[in-house]
Amino acid sequence: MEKENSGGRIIMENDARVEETTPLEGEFVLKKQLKPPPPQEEERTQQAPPHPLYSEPHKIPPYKVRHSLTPFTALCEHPDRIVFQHQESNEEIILLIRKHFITNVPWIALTLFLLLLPPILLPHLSIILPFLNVSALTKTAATLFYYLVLSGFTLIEFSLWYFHLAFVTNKRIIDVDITGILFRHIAETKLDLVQDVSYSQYGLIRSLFNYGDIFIQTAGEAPNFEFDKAPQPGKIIQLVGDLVGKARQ
Amino acid sequence: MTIFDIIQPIIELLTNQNFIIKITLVLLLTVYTIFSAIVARQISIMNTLINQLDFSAFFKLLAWLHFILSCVLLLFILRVL
Repeated sequence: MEKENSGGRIIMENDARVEETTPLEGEFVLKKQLKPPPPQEEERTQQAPPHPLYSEPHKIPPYKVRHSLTPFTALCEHPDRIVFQHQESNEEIILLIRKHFITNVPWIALTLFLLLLPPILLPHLSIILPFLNVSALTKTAATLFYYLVLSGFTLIEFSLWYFHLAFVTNKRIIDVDITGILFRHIAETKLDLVQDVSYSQYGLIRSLFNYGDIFIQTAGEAPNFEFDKAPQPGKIIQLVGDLVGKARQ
Repeated sequence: MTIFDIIQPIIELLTNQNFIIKITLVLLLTVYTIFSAIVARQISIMNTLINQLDFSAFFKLLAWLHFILSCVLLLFILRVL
C-alpha cells in the first residue's frame, strides 16, 4: 500500500524500513526496501507468537487424552486415583503411559482359543486317544488343572501389561519395565536432565492404531528411557517436551 | 516269594493309567502351587509399588484366589483320586 506524503514522497506503508534520501527537485525516488535488522534476543522471545494450541505461553495445552482411569487405560492425563511408592507429597502425576491395549490382542485371542479347546476335544477324546482308559473323575481333575493354568496365564499376561508403565510427574519421569513376572526394572530421571524426546512409528498396525516407541535421552548416567508401544506418541512427546521446558526455567 | 511276585504289583501300578495321571497331576500341581504363590506375592508387591486405588485390592484378591484354587485342587486330587 502506498500513499503520498506532504512532500510529494512515496512511502511504502508496510513494516519494512524505507530508505529516506533527499530527492532532487521534481524527481521521484523509488524507495529501496531494507532488510529489517535482526531482532535482539529479548525482542525475539517477547514477540514470538504463541502456538495456536496454547491459550497462554507455557501453559499445558488441552490435549485430548483420557482422564478417567480404569484398569484397562493405556494413556491418561492427570490420573487422580493412583499413587506410586516414594511419591513425594507435592509431586503430581501428569501422565500415565502403558502399552496400547491392542498389544494384548494376541494373548487374549490365544486364551479364548484355549478356553474353547476342552469342550470341543473332550467329547471326541476316545477317537483322538483310543488307548486312553481313565475314569471320569481323573478327566475332571485334569480339565480343572488345565483351566487353572489358563487362568494363571491370563493373570500373568495381564500383570505384564498392567505393571509395564511409565509415569511423567511434574518433577521426574519413572519407567517401570516388567519383562517377566519375576523380572522388573525401574528407572527414573529428573525432567531437567532430559535432553531429547523422540518417537518412532512404523508398520501398518502401529499407524492404524496410532502407537509407537518413545525414546527419551537423558544427560544422566542412566541409560535412555524407552516407552514401548505407547499410544498417541506425538501428543506424549509434545507434553513431555513442554514439561521439560517448564522444568528448565 | 519270587521276584516276579514283587515286580507284578509294580507293573500293574505302572500300567494303571489313572495312577500315572494322578501322580503326574500331583507333581505338576505341586510345582504350579508354589509358582502361583510367587505370582500372588509378586502381584501384591507390584500393587504396593503402583497403587491404583479402585483396582489394586481387587487385583491382589484375584492373585491370592488363584493360589487358593491351586491348593484346593491339589488337595482334591490327593484326597479323591
